[in-house]
Parts: sequence; C-alpha cells; structure tokens
Amino acid sequence: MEQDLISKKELLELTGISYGQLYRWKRKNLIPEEWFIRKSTFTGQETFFPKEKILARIHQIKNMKEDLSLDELADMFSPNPSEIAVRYKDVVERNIVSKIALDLYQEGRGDIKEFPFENLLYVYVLDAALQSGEISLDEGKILLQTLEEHYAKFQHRNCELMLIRKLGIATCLLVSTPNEVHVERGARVVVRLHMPTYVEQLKMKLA
Amino acid sequence: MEHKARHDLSLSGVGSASGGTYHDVRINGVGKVHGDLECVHCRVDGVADIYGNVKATTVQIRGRARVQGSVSGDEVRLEGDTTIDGNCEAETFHAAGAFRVDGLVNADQVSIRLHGSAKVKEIGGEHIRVVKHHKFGLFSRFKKLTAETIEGDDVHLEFTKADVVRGNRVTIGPGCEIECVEYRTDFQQAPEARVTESRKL
Repeated sequence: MEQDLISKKELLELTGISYGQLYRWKRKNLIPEEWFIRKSTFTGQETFFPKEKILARIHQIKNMKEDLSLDELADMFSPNPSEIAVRYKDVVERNIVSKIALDLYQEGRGDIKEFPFENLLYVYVLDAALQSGEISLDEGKILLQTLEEHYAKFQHRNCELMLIRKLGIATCLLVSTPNEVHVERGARVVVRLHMPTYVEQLKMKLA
Repeated sequence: MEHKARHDLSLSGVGSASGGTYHDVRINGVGKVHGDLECVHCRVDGVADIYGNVKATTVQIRGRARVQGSVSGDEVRLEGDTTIDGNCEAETFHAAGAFRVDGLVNADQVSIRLHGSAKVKEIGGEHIRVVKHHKFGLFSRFKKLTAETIEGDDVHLEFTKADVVRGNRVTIGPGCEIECVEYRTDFQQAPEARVTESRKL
C-alpha cells in the first residue's frame, strides 16, 4: 500500500507552521511517532509524512487549539478510549450511529441504558462497515462479535478490523498494524477498518 | 499529578532500587534503578545507571548517568556526563558537559554549552543555540557537538559538525563543519566555518 508522502519542508511551507510548533506537537503526542518516516534523499536524511493524514491532523489542531489546551488535544488524538459513557437516549438523539447498527447491537442484549465508550465504539465501527454497503447484516454480527471478544486484548495498540470473504463465506479478523496482508486468489478483503481512526472520530463526535 | 502519596527515593552510597513513582529522586553515590522512573524532581550527583525511562518535571544530572531509555520532562539539565539511549524531550533542554543522546533531542529551547564532546542523532525545536565556553584551551579541539540533523526556527551553532541544518534563521559560527544548510529567511556564516552547501528555500 503505497501512500502519498509529503516532506517536512513542503509540509511547513504548505501549512505555515514552524519547526517549533511541529516538534512541540510531536512532543505532546499530537502527531503519532509512526507518521514520521525517515528517508535518505540526495540532500541527506529527510522526514516524510503520510500526506493526507498529516494535513488533516494539522488542520484539526489549528482549528481546535484556540479552545483546547495541547494536553486536551492529545487526549482526543490518542488511541486510548475516553472514560465517558453515553446514554442510549443521547446516542439516538445526536445521531452518533445509525438506527440499523444500534438495533443489530441490541439484538439479544435487551435494553441498554448506557454505553461505555468501548461498546459505543463497536457499534460505531459496525455502523461504518454497514454504511460502506460492503457487508450484510449477518456479517455485521460476526464483526461485532470479533470486536467484543478480542478488541480489549490489543490494549489500545493500533489495530485493524478486516473482513475477508470467499465464495460468500465471510471471516472476520482483528490484526495489529502496521502490517501487510495478502489473501489467496478468489478471496477478497471486503472491509478494512483502522481502529484508531474510528476512536478519534468518535471522540470528536462526542466532544 | 497527585503528589501527596508519593515517597522520595534517595540513594546514597552504593544502592539499587526498582523503578516506580516518586516525588523526589536523588542519587548521590553509585545507584542503579531497574525500571521506569516517574517523579517530580530527579537529580543525579553521583553515578547512576537507569534501566528504563525517566519522566519528571525537572531532571538534573550533575554526575554521571546512563539512561537506557528515554528522558522526558519540562526542564532537563545535563551538567555532568550523560548518556541517553533513547530520546530526550523537554520544554527547555540545557546541557553543559559531555553527553550523548542516541535519539532525538526535542525541546522548545535547546541550549548547549560545550565543555566536552557531545553527540546527538537529531535536534529539533524552536530555539537552538550551541556555544563553546572557552574558545581556547588544552583540550579545546575535542569540544565539539556532532549531530546528523538539526532543525529549528532559530538556529545558532558553534563548533558543531552536522550533516544537515534546517531552519528559518540560521547562524553558523566558528568551528562548524556543516554539509548542507537549508534556510528560509536568514543565513549567516562565520569566516572560520565550513559549509559545503547552502540553499534558500
């Protein structure tokens, strides 16, 4: 998976931030370590970043740093789930996840009054997968089951949720990232969801 | 941070301790710490081997220390002979003495006074200033900072050997050997400095 890279120089030029700011944000963990990609160029060592991700992140930081302190921002961007729990009523009212995903989650679980962050995250990821139009409701169930059983084991390290389908039979797996996955011919990776991205999105929605 | 329940750790003479969370950490004799240290003030006046990371509000090393991990704090002062295997992150980083950091020194204010040989892989921050205290002397030629890359908004260097220096305002003083300087607004070079290539961005 070759992604578009941007050099540090170009990044500073494009966004108008200074070295001081960039290093400060790195120090506060607003920019994850793995985005700093070192490469040798003819002008010596240079640092590159995944272009889309870093531009989006810097845009977010610039927008929010008026209202939040750097430490608060760091919490928001960290892959660690927040402590909060959200009431069922709020989830519905604020339209955080779709009704379909919510119903699927509630199936067999009875009435849920409150969602701890992690559970809401599962529903949120399920929703994203369903919205992509790639998976069926039944596949949604195994996705949810995988998350519930195994997500905690990653202890907030970066991981990806994958659904692979061959001849109409789907298998769901949770793998740590960064890595490469190759599947046999005839099988297809249907969805591949980067969990930290969703943790972050959900935090933004709840904030 | 909750400070009340924390104890102090003091190692005088020869001693060792496990890592952990403390209020003040002082190592006066020969001390070993097996594990990560988290404290408010960390001060080493003797010889310390720390097998883990150090996280403290202020870190002051006046003796000899080897940290087999990273150091982070608001204020880090290295005044003795320090080796850090990982990165060193701080709001202000002061060094006056010999030191080696195998990773990145990342601080808003980096000020280095050369009293011995200093080696860092990378330096990044807002203001970076490297000066030599006594320009002449018996061992003067060993007093040098060696780095791969140095990046900052304001960079002032003396007696530094580096592959790449990037910054907005860059001043290369006497005794420097720099392969490549990339600057945005301002570049000055002392006649005694050697810069192979300089480029305005």
